[in-house]
Amino acid sequence: MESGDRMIEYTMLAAYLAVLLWIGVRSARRVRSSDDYTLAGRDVPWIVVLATTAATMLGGGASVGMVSEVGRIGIAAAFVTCGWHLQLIFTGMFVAPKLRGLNLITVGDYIHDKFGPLARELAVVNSVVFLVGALAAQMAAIGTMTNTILGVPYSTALFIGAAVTIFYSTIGGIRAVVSTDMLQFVILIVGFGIASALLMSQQGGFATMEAAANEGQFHLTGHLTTLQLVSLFVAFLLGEAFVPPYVVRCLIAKDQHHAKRGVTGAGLFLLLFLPIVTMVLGTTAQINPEVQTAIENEKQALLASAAEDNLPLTEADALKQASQVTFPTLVRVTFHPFFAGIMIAAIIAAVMSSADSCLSSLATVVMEDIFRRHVKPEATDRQLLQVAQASTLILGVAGAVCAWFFSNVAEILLFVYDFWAPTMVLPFMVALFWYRESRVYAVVASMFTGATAAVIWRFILGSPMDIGPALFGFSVALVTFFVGLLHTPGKPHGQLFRPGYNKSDEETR
Amino acid sequence: MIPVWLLTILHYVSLITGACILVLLAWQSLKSLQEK
Repeated sequence: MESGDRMIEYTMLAAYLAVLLWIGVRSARRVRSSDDYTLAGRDVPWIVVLATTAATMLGGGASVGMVSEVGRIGIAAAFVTCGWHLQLIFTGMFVAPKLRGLNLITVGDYIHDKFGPLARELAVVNSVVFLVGALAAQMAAIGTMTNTILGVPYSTALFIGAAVTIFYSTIGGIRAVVSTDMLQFVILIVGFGIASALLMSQQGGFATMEAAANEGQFHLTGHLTTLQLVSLFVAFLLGEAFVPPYVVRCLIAKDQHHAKRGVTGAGLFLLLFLPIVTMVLGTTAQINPEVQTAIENEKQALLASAAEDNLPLTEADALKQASQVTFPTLVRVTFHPFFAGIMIAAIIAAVMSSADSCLSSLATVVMEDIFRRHVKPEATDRQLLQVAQASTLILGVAGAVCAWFFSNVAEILLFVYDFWAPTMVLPFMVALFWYRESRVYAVVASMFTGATAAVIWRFILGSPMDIGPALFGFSVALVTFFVGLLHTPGKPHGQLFRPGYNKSDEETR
Repeated sequence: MIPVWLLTILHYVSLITGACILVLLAWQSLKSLQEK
């Protein structure tokens, strides 16, 4: 690759980072209260809710990762991710209006309202585990993606990416996060849309692509078994259902209608846009010889580097890792360096915007669920704002340090996506559709057993029979819930199980 | 196997949806600028 082209890419990335910093400074001027900082003053219109929700979903995995996977295993990879989008549509239709109507701040508030303080604490622990793991994993992804795409050393890329993300998140809170999400959303949609349209016209339509692609590329199931397909689909469907970054998107909307239209619209838009566009990009990458050569070269380099350091790396793992270069190589060999530079900046922005959403939600959990509830219930709004800002800074630095030390255990960090569903999805579903006070004990029991089952299935048994920990843990939680219903008394007894969010807390604010 | 004609229609739908969303976002940005 010519050094001039690389310079254009660096310049585009530097310009993008500068715009992010400017957005952060501009958003900070609008932050006057903890409500502004954590919930954007609850005045966000639906189209902006749509953009920020879609941008949060569109992380590195859903963009670059999905193009690589379609190139590697076929369109089945894009098909299973429809679970993500269906989950968002469901959240928008049924959950968003209810949550927005209750004027809550965190997931813990909602669980407390329905199932009492013990369930709330379990929800808080789950939220923290999910957000810390996801934050560290996304921070690590900033380092690895920049390293793979631009050749910048991992540590340098992590330092710059994390510093910018932490800066604008700390000074501007969720307002800065929403504004940067809008920019990222526009760049990604313009970039992916134009790229797929141009590539489609270059290839001469789907019929030509189908003839040139690998056999089975256009099969809905691809090379996956039915069980693998179902397990993957369920993992996508439940893995991120009702996670704090999406719940926050429901709460920042102007009102219930805006929350419903924004979140449902994001799911619907992604369902219509993302799978087919990634199918075009991934399939084009598969039939482009230059992209395939780049993947092969990257694989050989990874294998050689692993052999030098005496690290165990199988050929299949090396190929999976090397396929990260699929999308950047595709845009470089197909488009003008200027457009390729925009796309590469957008890829890195996609990962950064997922990291900032986790960071912002984590600071809200610390402020509301830990500080205000357990440390200083009588705290003034100014103190709460300071706690949220300090938490964003400290947790952001901690996330970057985790990503620095534990970059080689990214897969363990990604387990948090399997850990959330078994514990939290069932309580939400019961609260929304089948709620009675007498079901509190059964729900709390299901939260304990679901989490334990997922941990045992993943770490002790090694996820046998191609069944993911999320699916297994959720099944165990479901069984526990129904067994619990038969063996628990009517009304909940004791302080720990008494539903009802403490309204007097709300009034003191 | 998904029919080629269906994939083609879906691709057009995706591009039109993307364009519509971008227009709506631009309209919203203009509206909030006017309000300021």
